[in-house]
Amino acid sequence: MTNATEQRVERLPVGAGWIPDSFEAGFLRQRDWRLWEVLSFYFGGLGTGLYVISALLDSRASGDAPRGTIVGMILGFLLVIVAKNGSHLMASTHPAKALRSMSRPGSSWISRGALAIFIFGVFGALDIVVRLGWIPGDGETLGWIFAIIALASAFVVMVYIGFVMAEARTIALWHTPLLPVMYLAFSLVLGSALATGIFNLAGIEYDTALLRIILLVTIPVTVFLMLAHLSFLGFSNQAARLSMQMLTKGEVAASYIGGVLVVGLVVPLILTAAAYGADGAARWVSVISAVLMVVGGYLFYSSLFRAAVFSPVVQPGARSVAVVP
Amino acid sequence: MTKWGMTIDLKRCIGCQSCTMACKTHNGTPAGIFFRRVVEKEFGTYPNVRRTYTPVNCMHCDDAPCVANCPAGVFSKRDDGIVEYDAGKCYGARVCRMVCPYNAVSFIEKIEPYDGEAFIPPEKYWYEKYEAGTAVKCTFCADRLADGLKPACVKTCPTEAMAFGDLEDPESDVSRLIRKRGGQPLHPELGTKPNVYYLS
Repeated sequence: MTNATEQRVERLPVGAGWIPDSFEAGFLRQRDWRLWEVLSFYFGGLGTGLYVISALLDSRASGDAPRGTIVGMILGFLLVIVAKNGSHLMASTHPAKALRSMSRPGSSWISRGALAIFIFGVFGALDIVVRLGWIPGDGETLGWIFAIIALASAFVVMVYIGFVMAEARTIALWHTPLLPVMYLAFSLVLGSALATGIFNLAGIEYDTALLRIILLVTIPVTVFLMLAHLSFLGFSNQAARLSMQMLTKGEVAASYIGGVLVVGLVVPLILTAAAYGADGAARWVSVISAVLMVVGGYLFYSSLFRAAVFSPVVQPGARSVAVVP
Repeated sequence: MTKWGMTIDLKRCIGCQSCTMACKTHNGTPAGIFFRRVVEKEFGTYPNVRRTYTPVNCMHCDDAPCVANCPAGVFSKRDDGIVEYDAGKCYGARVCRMVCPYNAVSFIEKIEPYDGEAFIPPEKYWYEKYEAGTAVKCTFCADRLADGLKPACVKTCPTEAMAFGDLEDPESDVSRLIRKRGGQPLHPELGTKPNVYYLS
């Protein structure tokens, strides 16, 4: 046995049934999607969330002059178009062929997501241009059309990755209809958090009360979804229970329970509620809670990848391959 | 219309990995890439110990998740039931690896010589048809089928644990074995409609 193999075996949790190679029946961990995939999904959620929340705040702002909240829309747009697409290209082994990702929208959620990103890139840019007043004449009707298409495509970008992952039938952690809803909820939380942080740091005027209400609604909903997801895992198959153990007691627990649930959601919720109706110091409280949520969001995206476990191709101990209880 | 399928008799398989080697030899796959594996599992406690061997390759599913989910259209279902791939279209999304319930799709991270130093002449010859950063899988040895031969694993098995033939022909070996022995696919509950049947 080589040193590398010895080290790999030593890291395996005792009794968990992990396998060192693919010639022995057992539970396999997801190893194909790593940092760049996490970043691409994270930037997608962060960017579209920021764009949607900023667009909402911008629509409620008054005055003909360009509003400061449009900065959030531009930043959200760039996060999707530059950071998300850039991460996708870094994750690809043949980036020159990446345009092929749009070739199967009839059956592939990745293709649908790629098309949604393309549409968002076109109509998001047009929406921003209209809001900046760079189109001569009355662009109100056009602006509404661009905004609706951009927001609809942003919504698809928020959720499509949940559908991609839910297609993995033997990864019980992912194979649930809750996943797209969780990604939608996290996207809105991250967008609201980043908007709060940016607007407060840059001194941009915005509807403070509305953004706080959005956070006070979306954070508890997200916490509820996370707990519901964990509960369902407990009643699912053995691979699901292994994932749940990793998320709650194992090597990903510090990240998922500590980082995402407590630091990324519960603490910001308390801070946001405490800052409600207050000014002055509330600005810095908002910035701190925004930073916590943005960091917690990243940990959410990475934890779901790290804790993914494939059910065994051949059930350990089964005498017949056909029976999977 | 022919619909290719395979049966694997688990009572005959002795876990010798001859099929694994025949597959590697015929397809010349790079180090670490296996289109076929014989998965082993030991269970029980001494002295009541039992070891099972389950050969696994691409199941050439009728509702193949790799075909449906690959965004680049790398995988496609042929009229004769074979799920083939075109690595030239692959850009490395690796979603096929996530959605295949049988761990049957391999991804070539990099092509390295077996001895870790230099490619020997056969390796240079074999690896020409593979490209690093693409997905590959079993094709039921489609090139051999075109020449009227059976897949390399079927031909090689010393215990004749495997049969290969037309599932649409009720008199073919595979159809008769499935009928007689009650052949069942792996994980039928997943709804992928595999075309490899196990006899136990």
